[in-house]
Amino acid sequence: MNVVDLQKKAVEIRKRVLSAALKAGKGHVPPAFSWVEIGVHLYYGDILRFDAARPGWPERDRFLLSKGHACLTLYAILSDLGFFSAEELENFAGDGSMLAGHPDPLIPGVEAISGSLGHGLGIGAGLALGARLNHQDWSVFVLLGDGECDEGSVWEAAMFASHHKLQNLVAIVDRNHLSATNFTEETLKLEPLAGRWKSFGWETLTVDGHDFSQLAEILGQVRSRKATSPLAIIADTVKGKGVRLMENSPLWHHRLPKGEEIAQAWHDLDMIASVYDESGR
Amino acid sequence: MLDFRDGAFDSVDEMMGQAEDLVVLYNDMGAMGIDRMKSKSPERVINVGISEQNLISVAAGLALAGKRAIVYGIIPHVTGRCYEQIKIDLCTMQLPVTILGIGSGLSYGVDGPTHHAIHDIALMRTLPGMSVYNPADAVTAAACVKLALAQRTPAYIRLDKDQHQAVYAPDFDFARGWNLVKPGKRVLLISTGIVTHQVIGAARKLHEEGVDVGVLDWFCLKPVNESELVEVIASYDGIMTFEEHIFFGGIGSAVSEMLQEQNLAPRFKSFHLKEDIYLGATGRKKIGEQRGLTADTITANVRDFILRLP
Repeated sequence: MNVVDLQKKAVEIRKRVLSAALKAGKGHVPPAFSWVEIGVHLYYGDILRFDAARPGWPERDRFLLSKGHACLTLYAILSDLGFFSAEELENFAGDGSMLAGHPDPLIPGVEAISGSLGHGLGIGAGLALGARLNHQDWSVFVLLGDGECDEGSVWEAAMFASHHKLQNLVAIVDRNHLSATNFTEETLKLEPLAGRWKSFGWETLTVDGHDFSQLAEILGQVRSRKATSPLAIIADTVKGKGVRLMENSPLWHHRLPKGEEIAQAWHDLDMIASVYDESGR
Repeated sequence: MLDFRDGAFDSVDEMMGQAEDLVVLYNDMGAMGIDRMKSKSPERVINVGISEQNLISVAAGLALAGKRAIVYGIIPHVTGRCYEQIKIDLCTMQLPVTILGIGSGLSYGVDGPTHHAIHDIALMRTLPGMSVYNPADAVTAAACVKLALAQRTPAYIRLDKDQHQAVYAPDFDFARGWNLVKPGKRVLLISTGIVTHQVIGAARKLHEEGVDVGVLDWFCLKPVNESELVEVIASYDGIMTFEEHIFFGGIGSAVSEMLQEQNLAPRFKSFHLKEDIYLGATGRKKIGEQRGLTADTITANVRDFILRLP
């Protein structure tokens, strides 16, 4: 996909996320919105190796959503790609639905359970080591929240991965500067976040997590890079990106738009869509 | 005298030679068996460092990549310390990871309560799909490793740090998960782990006095073929349980749960550790005497128990 198509896809995914959450009356929309471009680029930008018809294809890359509460973006992408139906997405968090508020491996395309923070990078490190022991060339991508980096287990895994030179492991940190109730720097300082990953022995790059050109430049080189260390990508993002009333606000973690806000949210997404429709013509 | 670690790691070593998918992970905890395996297969024997949450998550990741992992460390560190990783990463995905914990009960008694393992059976028994083994000797430990690895689901094996005589011959079939060491009349003594040695000693003394009690060694606490075990239990008027673990979640509570579910009402008495934190250097002999877990105290308590039977 070209950049405009990726941008259109990102709006489409945001609309699906919002629609499913509003229908369910629950869901973490702002944390889902902050990684939409990252997710879209991974799945539609020829980065991840996968086959929607064969979710268990042994040669696939493994993508782990460690910040499991942001699963609506993953669900929207997986259903759009045909891992499961659009009806399943519409039934998000319904009683008996396959799609719970946090992902589990019964869902086609989901590699591991998540929802409790700080587990994904260790599991990803084990997978990456497993690939090496199996002499297989698939890669492991783990998306972490920045607030998630408060968890000590993230740093245990970071030490392990660099010690074992897990070159096939990529951690992407969704650096939206907010955790559940407040800004990260007012909760538990993370900065210098990139410096910390670097000091843990990771090749560390920073990127605007909403800019497809920058994402292409970095993610496109993941497989050909020379460094023997694992790669950390600190993706600077905006929590709630795309809907102005949600953007960069501690109030918006799992809050859903209500009343007038619903129309405002759709209006903002429609506005973005119209811009890309124009530029695509 | 045999070491549980030798028994368990001999099995792991033997199986690693046959199965390329086995990987051993440990949290910087030494064992001769580990050194031996590491010299043979350095890439498959990995010291993860002192980081137990990561130890379990890495094991889960390896299992997702098609490996079977064996995780080794001191019991409180590889059970309670990383309980959530065990529950979520291993049990919700039913991954083939076997936790080998060293230091059952008060093995590390004089090292203080940070190293005591007296709540671990309870912790592990509550987890869905987690098998729980508590062997009484190194022969059983070796067999439990093979049973656990063959299951390809999460398992926990509790190893004692002290050396003990063998209860079983190497060709014993452990598949049933428990063994009626000796049948008896009216009273059945059920024990798990190393307390079985004390119970066997007590039964021997009582036999010399003309009192014939049954002895059952329960080494696979979960899963258990309940109907077979209940059949044995139901043929006795009195049941006594013995374990170096607290009552809650241990075999005392497991047997009471079974009796309640089956509407059985034999006279029942459990001997176990206090639900307490044992501060200071706590030798297992002294506490064993206090809590009725030594051969002499068991003998006396069984005599008393029999006198009170209706």
